[in-house]
Amino acid sequence: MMAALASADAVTWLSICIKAMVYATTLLAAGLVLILLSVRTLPEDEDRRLRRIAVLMAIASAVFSVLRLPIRASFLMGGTWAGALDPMIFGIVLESPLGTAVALRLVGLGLILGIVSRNRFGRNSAALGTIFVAASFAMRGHALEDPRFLLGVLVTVHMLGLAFWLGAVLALLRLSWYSSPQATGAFAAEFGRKALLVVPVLVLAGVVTLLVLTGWGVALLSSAYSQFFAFKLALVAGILGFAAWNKLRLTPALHSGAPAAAAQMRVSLQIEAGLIAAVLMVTAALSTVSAP
Amino acid sequence: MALSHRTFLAAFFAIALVSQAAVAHSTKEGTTPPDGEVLSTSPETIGMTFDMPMRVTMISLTDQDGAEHGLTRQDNMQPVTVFDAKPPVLAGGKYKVQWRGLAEDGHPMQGTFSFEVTD
Repeated sequence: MMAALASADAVTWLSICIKAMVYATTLLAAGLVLILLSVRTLPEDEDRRLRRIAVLMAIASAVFSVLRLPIRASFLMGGTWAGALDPMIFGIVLESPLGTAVALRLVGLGLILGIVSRNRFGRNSAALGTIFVAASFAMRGHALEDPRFLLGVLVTVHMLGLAFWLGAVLALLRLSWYSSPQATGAFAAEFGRKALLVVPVLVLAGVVTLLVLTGWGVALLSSAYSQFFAFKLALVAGILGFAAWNKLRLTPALHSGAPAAAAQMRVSLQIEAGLIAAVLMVTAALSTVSAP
Repeated sequence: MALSHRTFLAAFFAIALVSQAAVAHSTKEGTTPPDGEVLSTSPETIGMTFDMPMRVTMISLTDQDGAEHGLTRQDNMQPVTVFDAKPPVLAGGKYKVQWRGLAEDGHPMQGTFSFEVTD
């Protein structure tokens, strides 16, 4: 794993960082939409601010997604900046699955902007957008292998589940800073109930995807991909631990009005957000410098 | 709200149904000359074989002093499973081939291999 990273050139590192930013901003844009459409205990002022943040994340995601095209062109020409602007190579990248994925994501992000409107059209547009952006991650790489249909659905479900989680963590973090402990507790309780369905589906979709890609066998830990994946699973286990702590201990404490509960929830969520950022970074590295 | 959920489910299945045919990830199967080979004469071709079509976007041949030797290729940067390029007549020394390419599934690939030409 370390050898693969050590041999990566500047363009590969830039690619990893931009890809991680694409993951974060896209998942937050889609995730906030999912939260806004499905959770009913958001205070009105936070609802308004989260709609604006979803729009900002969608715009940032569009910028980072488009940036991936010249960076890919540069890589294909040996990591040169001249390669990034080579019309022929740029055309090849546009016609590749990455070009398709970026195009689909841009359409989805455009639809997500509908979240600024509270009417039925805006809601439907934003909901449709979340599907498009989640599906855009299934338009390239190993998700295109056989069984294509199954892998496409699994990756899309995995990304939707992840988006929902990230959106909830951001909403909870903001509530823990800017709202009352009761409002935070009410949101945490509602999210906790929905997470009981979403999280197992998210984890199951990820595990089945891995098993399908590795031929339903346990990959040897000697390969860089397996080591990256083991590291990612360890981080995910940490996130699940903090999420369980939030649900089982801190949410009831917030409800009962325990004085330190809001601060504890804030710290726990900050650590959880840090671990999620690490997972996104590891996933970006995993899919850039190694393959199953 | 219920309408959003219906939109959500309908879009999900629509996208799943219109997904394209499966494409696979390429891996390098061999090189010409083989990696680490010691040759008594200059090689006639420099090449790679892949298990699935690969679009080779960059290939370079450098000697132990870092000097680059031009390669003549005829693939027009189209996806191929057998890639061949003609080198100039190479003097004795150690040579490194570096290549980058794009697999059908969009994966960017890269690789290196070396060989030696004895005097």
